[in-house]
This record gives sequence, C-alpha cells and structure tokens, in this order.
Amino acid sequence: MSVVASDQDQLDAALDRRLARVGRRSARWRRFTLEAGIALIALVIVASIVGEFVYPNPNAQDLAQALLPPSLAHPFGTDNLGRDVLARTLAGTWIDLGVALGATYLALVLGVVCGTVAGYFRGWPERIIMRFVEVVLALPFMVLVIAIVAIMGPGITGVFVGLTIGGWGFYARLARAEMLVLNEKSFVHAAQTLGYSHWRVMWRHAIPNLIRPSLVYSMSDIVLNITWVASLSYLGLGVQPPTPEWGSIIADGQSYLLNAWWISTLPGLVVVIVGIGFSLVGDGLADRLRARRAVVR
Amino acid sequence: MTGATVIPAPPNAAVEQVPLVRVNGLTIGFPAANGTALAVRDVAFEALRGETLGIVGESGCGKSLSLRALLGIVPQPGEVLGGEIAWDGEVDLLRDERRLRSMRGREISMIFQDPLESLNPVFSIGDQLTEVLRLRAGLARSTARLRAVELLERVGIPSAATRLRSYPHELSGGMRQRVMIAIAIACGPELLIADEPTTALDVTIQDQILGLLVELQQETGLTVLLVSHDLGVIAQMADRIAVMYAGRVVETGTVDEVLLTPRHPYTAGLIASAPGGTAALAGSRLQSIGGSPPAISELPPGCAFAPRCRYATDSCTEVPMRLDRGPGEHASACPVVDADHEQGRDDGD
Repeated sequence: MSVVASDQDQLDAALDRRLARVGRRSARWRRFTLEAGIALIALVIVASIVGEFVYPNPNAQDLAQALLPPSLAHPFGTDNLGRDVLARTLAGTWIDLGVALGATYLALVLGVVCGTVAGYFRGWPERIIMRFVEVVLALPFMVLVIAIVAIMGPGITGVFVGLTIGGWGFYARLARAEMLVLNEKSFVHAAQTLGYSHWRVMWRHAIPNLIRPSLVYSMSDIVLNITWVASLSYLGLGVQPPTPEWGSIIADGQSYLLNAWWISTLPGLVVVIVGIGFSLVGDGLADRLRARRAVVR
Repeated sequence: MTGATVIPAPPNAAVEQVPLVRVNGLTIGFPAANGTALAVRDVAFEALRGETLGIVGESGCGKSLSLRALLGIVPQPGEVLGGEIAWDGEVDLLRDERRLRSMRGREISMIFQDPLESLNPVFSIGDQLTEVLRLRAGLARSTARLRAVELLERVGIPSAATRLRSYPHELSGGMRQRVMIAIAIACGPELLIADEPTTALDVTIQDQILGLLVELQQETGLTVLLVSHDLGVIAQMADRIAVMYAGRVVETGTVDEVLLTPRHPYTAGLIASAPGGTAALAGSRLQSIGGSPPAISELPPGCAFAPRCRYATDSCTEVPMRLDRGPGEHASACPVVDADHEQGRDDGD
C-alpha cells in the first residue's frame, strides 16, 4: 500500500515539476512576444527619427542616379527620379503610423464612450447609439471607407475620417457588452449609492474595468489600419504625390518591378515588419491582460 | 388581543416618535409579456432613529428592490409605480430627486451582499475611500488621507496606513466588507442599508461584521435597514422585523412578537424551517414549506401564499391580501390565522 502511495506521490511531484516548467516556458515566450513586438516597432521609429537628420529632403531628385540598386550609399536603392527609397520610406513612417494610430484611437475613444453610455443608461440612448453602430457595421468596411474618401475628396483627411467612422462601431459593441456585465456588479451600484454623478460612475468606475478588450483589439486594428492607409494611397485615394508614403511609394515602383524590384519590395517589407510588430504587441498584451485578469478574479 | 389588526387602532404613545424613514404603498413594476409584473406591491415599513429594521424573505421577494427604491437606483427597466418614502417625516424621496441625489452617500448609504464585487478592482482601497471623502464630504486630499486611515482603523483593519495601497483582490472577503463599511460610513450617514451583508462570508467573519455594525450603531446612532434571508442574523440584529413574501410585507412587529408569536403562516413556516430555531430546540426535524414562491408575473388574485398554506380557505384565493395596522404594531396580512392564531400554531407543531 505504502509503496503505491509513494509512487503516486512521486508521479504527482514529477507532474508538478513538469507543469511548472511548461508554465515558466510559456511565461518566457509571452514576455518575448511583447518585447519582440515593441523592438520591431521601435526599430522602425528610431530609424525614422535618424532618417529625419540624415535625409533632410526625402524628395531630393538626382536623375543621374535613377534606378540604382541597393548599395551602401542608397541601402534601399533609388527610384526612377533618382530619389533615395530609404529616405522616402522613413519619411513615410510618420504619415502611415500617425494616421493609423490616430484613426484607431479616435475610433476607440468614440466607440468606448458611446458603448458605455448605451450600456449604462439603456433605454432610448442605447437604441439610438446601437442603431448607428449596426448601420456602420452592416456596410462592408472597404466600401464605407472608400465612399467617405470619395465624398471628402482624396487626401489624408478623408482617409483619417473614413477609418475612424468605419472603426468605432466595433469598439462601441465591445464596450456596451462589457458595460452590461458591469451593470450587475455591486461596485457600480455602490458608486451610484454614494451619490457620484453618472459621468463619474462611467468614467472612473466603469470604463477602467471595461476597456481591456478594446485595447487588445486596437492592436490588431492598428495593423489593419496601417495596411488601409497604405492601400488607399496605393489606389491614389490617400496621400497625394509627391508626399512620401508607403502605399504611394509601392505604387510608384510597381511599373519598374521587373528591372528595379527594390522600389516596391523594400518599403513593402517595412510595412510587413511594422505589421508583425503590432501583432506581436497585441498578442503579448492580450496574454498579459488575461493573466492579470485571472489574478483579479 | 387580535382585534387590533382589523380596526385601525389609535397610535400608541410609545410610537409617537417620527420615523427616520417611512415607506408607504411602495409599488415597483417591470414590463412583462402580459403587461406589468409587480415585483413590489404596496410595501410599507418604517424605521425609527437608531433602530435596526430587519427585512426577511426568500430570494426574489422584493426585499432588495424595495431598498434600492429608497436610494433611487431601481435597476432598468424596473419602475417605481407608486407610493411614498418619507424621510424624517417630511421629504418624499420618490419625488424629490435632487434632494435624494445629495443625500446618497451622505445621509443614506448602502453595503452589498458580495464583498468580492463591491469594490472597484482597478483602484486601491485608499483611492476609493478618499474618493468618497473628497467628493461627498468635501475634504482636501491630505485630510481625506488621514481620515481614510482613521476609518480603516475604526472598522478593524490592521496596519491601516499601509493597507490604503492594497487593491481589493489582495484582501479577504471579510476585509473587503470592512472596507465597504468604512466607505459607507465615511460621511457619517444616518441610515445604512445593509443588503445581505454577511451572506457571502463564513460564520465567524459574519459574527465579526455584525458585531462591527452593532458597535457603529451604538457609537453614532445609525439607523440600519438589514436585509437577510437568515432569521438567525435578523434575530441577533434587528429591533423590528418586516417579513416579505412575493412582493408584499406579510407581517411586521418587534423581533420578539414576530419570532415568538408569528401570526402569518409564512412567517411560522420560515421559523420552523430555520436551523437553530424553535423547531430545532424542540428536537423535531426541520420543516420545509412545500411548493415554491409564485412567479411575480402570474400572482393569484388572492393571497400569494395561499397555494402553499395549510390554513388556506376558499376565500384566501379570492380576497386580496392587506396589511392593516397602526404604526409600530404587530400585524399580519393573514386574516385566517390572525383571527385564531393560537390554534394555528398548535396545529403547526
């Protein structure tokens, strides 16, 4: 009997050790995910800051140097007008990241506020807000954004407004759903019984508790929005030439793809790197927030 | 001895005092498939200054809802359809919303059943205590901090100053309920509504929390409305009791009157089914009340308890229940047992 029991104990202990090892490994991997993502994004941003000084004018033409392949002098080569592709790519970072981040977080703020108000008050505010959300979500995202850009005229403002209007609905849904859960929590009731204003209950007590899913979602939303800014500019609906922007650089280079592959390919690679960076950050963040949530629960 | 419930008697000299809160005819409805479901019907109770009124009843009988109406936080889509809530004999809280808003947290405050969820998980308890002190008591940041430490010490939290930085998940259930009480009494309220404050806690902690409430009451003359389904808690804490069933108050009176000489068959059933009650003392098995409470959307026209009541007569299912009484009297909504309740109790044993 005792032999069996001690065998069982040893087995349990071994299992415990193994589980602990797996846990440690996944924790390490999780941290690595977040940090690798941050590193990739930081790499591109730091390079762009350096680029500001190294290449004061990214649009400087030198027709004698046109269509040169990548070299030490021009790491990304030059385009058909002799402009340095790396200089233009780095200068484009600000527009692509700026518009994508701005549109994502304006949409997040708008959506979270609307969703929280809808879920908190219920009744007619909810009906009105959620009807708008349904309209926005019912239209295909691409069609909606292109329609808004068409109405506002091609340019960076149109892209920004289009992405914001197309994007806020999902955040509103997430926030409302979380608010409905919070409505049942005593700490929200407690805040009400203490005589805090509705605004305070929502801002201090509800939103900090419901924003996590929206933050996690926003990371993948940024990736999508970066590709959207680039795509719309590629289609000629976004940033207008000669302003350097990833999508328009890629579009410019596509007619030379067969004899000067670097013009389109290397900026495209930068888009991919930034996209992977944000995806990794989103993954890592989701894991961390989940872990923290598990502790809180 | 029983005529008093039929004929409204002149008020006793002993209950001349104006109650701090007097609820009258409170009715709360929810929209339902077949019109409006009345979750609370014609509820009346009152609490004198410094006393504890226990409100007893099973889940869903409208206890918590009635008390939420007192604070104006009836959950959507519920709606107060009628009645009045007199504060200190004058203000009607149901009609003076501005006054009620300013009273919340200052003159009336509330503690909740689930201490695990009644504190905001993302802020430290110090933040939450100072928030109420700054916003509702108008203290400056530094004074609020000092007062917060005092309050935590008052509710029995060791090393209060360092605990201010703790987050709710770092505290045990009993500690969290203490913090909740500290927040509730922060502005020196006159009325504390305690909605099942110890249901989620284990028995030793329950005793400590109830003891704390009694101490606070003795120190500050706090009036307490204590909701519970636990007759033991009520017997220990309350001065007077209101028993609720299916949205109505079916019996009220002092603790001794109601628990020792229950006049409503439902109250008698509750007592017989409580561990440690008279049944257990007599060595007999605990008795359960047969059946289950009716859904509030399909209440019978007569007494809602009639289908489960062993004393029910034909008229019980037709004549609506009424609780007629003068203020402060022992009264029951049951005309059958009330008229002859001694016999009813004998049958019950």
